[in-house]
Amino acid sequence: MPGEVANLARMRLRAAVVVVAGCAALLGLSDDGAAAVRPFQAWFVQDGALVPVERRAGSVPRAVELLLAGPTPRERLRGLRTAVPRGTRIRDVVTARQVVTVDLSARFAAGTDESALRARIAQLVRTVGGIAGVRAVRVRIEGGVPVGLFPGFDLRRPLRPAAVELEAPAGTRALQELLRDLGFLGAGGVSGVLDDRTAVAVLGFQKWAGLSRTGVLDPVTTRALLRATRPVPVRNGLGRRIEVLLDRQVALLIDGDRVQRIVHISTGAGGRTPTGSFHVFRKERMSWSVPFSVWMPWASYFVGGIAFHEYGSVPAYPASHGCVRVNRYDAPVLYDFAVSGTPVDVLWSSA
Amino acid sequence: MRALATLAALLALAGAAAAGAAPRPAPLVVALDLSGRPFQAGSVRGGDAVFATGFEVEVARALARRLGYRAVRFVVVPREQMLRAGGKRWDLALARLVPGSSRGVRFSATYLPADQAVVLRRGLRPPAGRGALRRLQLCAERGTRAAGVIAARIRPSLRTLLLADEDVLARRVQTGLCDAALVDAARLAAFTAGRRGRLGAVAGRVETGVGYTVALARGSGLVARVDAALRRLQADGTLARLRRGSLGADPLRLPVLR
Repeated sequence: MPGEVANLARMRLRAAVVVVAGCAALLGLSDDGAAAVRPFQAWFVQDGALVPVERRAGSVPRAVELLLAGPTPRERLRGLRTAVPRGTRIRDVVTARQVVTVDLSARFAAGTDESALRARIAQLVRTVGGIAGVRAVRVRIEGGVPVGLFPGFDLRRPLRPAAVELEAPAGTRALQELLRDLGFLGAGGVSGVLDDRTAVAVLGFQKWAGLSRTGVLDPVTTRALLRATRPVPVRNGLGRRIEVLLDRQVALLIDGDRVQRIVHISTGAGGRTPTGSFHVFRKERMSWSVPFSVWMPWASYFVGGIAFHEYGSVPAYPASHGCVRVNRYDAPVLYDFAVSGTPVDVLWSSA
Repeated sequence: MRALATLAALLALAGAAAAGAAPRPAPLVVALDLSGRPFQAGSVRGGDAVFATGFEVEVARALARRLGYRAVRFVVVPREQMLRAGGKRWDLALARLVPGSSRGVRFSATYLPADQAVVLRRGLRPPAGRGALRRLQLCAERGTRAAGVIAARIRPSLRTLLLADEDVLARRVQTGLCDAALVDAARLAAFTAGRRGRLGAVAGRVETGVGYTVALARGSGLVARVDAALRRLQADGTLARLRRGSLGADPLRLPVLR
């Protein structure tokens, strides 16, 4: 029995040592108890995105203080901003089981701009949650649980930094749904996988938005996509019609005043696709090009021997002999849309 | 002489003690559901909102001042519980309640009309009136008053799309799948903030004929006083100031779509 008691005491002591060691590592304390100043990332806002900058602190409360202090004048010149209101006070910072509870004054919840309110929570959770040894961050305002104060965040539970985004979570499926809703991707293209069809839709979007034509959902494209509105026709008109925009290398399939689909195309190199107003006058499911000895699937002729048709290579620039090359995913869609008589406007500029 | 002085000192002490022990005036106890900005949000500890902010919070504070209370205590109560009959641990409840939603409580005069704002997609010309909305693809957030208002006041020719949340609703307007979204006019500024350039014009508001009111316990002696106080707050411009300050914009300044 005394042996058991002694064992229990030893186990408790060991557990206590582990907890203290954990806290010491968490708070960046050195072995001799003096504060060891260590680097961490403080997160600020730049052009609507969270951006980290390096800071050094010897404790979690100090790290919070440095976040509340905001960007330095030099960082401000670089365009960094903070969404945390000036005058926010720290009431308490407590660490237990790798969860840091940060209790702030009501000033932290000031204002009505929901994006700013979201941004300041994201800044706080990313900053504190990114400190070595911290698993999650619990936010308290005036000692209470915030309810409804920060739209989009349930602060009844601690937040993990990975769960905190400024924009809505932008998974592949969500972005594909957005591409579909904007008209760049067909309904069957929402797969949850970044496939070739998505790359073609992204390329179409990048052309429309004036971005680098890579077909890759990079951060710049994603940000632009989240803010994009549905393209509008360049010209007013009635009924179903097609606008071919030579500068952007896209075709707009329009019904009334609404763009139904935006299709990534490649027109004639060196301006070989004539501009003007035409009509679809001949359609061939498989058309044989005599001068170039090549099959042209899904061909819709609209002027002379110039047609919309599917082609294996549809680069991001004008590359054809005059026809409008259409990518293989959208060629059948365009073919079905462009019934005989459909007006086609080939425009040099979409401005 | 000395005895008299001692007695006087004792009396003074007793008086001071009595003054110190005098009960502080009771605060006005206001029930909130903390549904979120811009109406009401806060921070909760032990059933009390230790910090509260929003339009309805400001209305409650203004009412308390008008009713002669020096302090307000905010308690957090689920909406269904507010409307239940029986004893209340609060004097007033504000939670976007509309008259007739319960027989268990009494309702005051209106402090804010529950009108719906119409936000168009980009590129769409604002409709001249409610009739022109009928031909559009209208959308609303599921579980809000908007769907009912669309059915009763607009009667559209296309089936209304009910969407899961405000973000999806805004995205559908942004991408043109919805011609117009109906949102609580009081939430309009919050809905459009941060989405500049992604949404079109605000066509105006559809009047619903109902408004948000204060709930009081049946038999409460405050009913008439609250009504009178709300009338005064309306007349002296306090409510308009609170609308502008807490809602981001005054929804009553939107043109009415007739």
